[in-house]
Amino acid sequence: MGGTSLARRVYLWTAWLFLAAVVVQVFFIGLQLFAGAQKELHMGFGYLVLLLSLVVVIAAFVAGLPSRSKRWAGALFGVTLLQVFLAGLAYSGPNPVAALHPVNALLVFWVTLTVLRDAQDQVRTSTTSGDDGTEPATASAR
Amino acid sequence: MGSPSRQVFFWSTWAFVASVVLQVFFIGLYLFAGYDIGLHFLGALIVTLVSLVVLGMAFVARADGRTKRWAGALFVLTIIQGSLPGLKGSLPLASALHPVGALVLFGVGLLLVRDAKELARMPLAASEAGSAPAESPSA
Repeated sequence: MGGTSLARRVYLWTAWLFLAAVVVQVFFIGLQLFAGAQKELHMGFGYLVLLLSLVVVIAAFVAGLPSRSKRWAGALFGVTLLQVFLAGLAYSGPNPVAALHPVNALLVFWVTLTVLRDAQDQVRTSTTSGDDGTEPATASAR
Repeated sequence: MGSPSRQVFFWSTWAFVASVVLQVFFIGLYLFAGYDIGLHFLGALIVTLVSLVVLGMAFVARADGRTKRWAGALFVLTIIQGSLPGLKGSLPLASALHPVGALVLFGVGLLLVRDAKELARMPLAASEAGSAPAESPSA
């Protein structure tokens, strides 16, 4: 497996990992609201999700993805950072703007699905074109 | 351009996605801004009604089997979503899936938007040839 193909697979795996983290994070708020779990579970894990979004961005650059893919990875980090900001508003007192915290979770989810679909396309492109990060094969004289 | 029924189906799927976003905003208003939870309960009714419209329109628009199944799943998932908070006392872990259910509904809603968009682009005759039984050729 070529270097580029492997890097793209790693990118795909980080995207899947991020999606799983988002689902777990949403479940943690469910545990807080419906099962009496501590709020620190959701709050603490939120920082891990933010860190993971940064890993996705780094993976996009390491994999040498097209600009469009890097922009989507950057957008993922951006909306995740926004989510942390809105959480700060949410935990600091009644605030209608803080009501956007759960709405932004839907946006994070949608951007994650977009990044994931793009990552799958990038892996497919690298495997079907035989791209292994080396120079293109020269046409052999017959 | 597709048939009117397919255009309505397409817009109904968008209406569902919008209703989910609104419903999530309503719970945000309750949790973080002190609004009445009655807004969220009203939103639940709207989401359920819209999911039923989506299901009905999937049939009226003569969507393919796969799309109809997803529309059916959407309606069922919406009913389940509405039931989960009621389990708080008896099955709190199941009840805790309520916010996750919102993600699922949002995701399935977006999937149906994509399917409905494709369907709305197709001329009715061309898609009918694929889904309806073949008619006997006229002389």
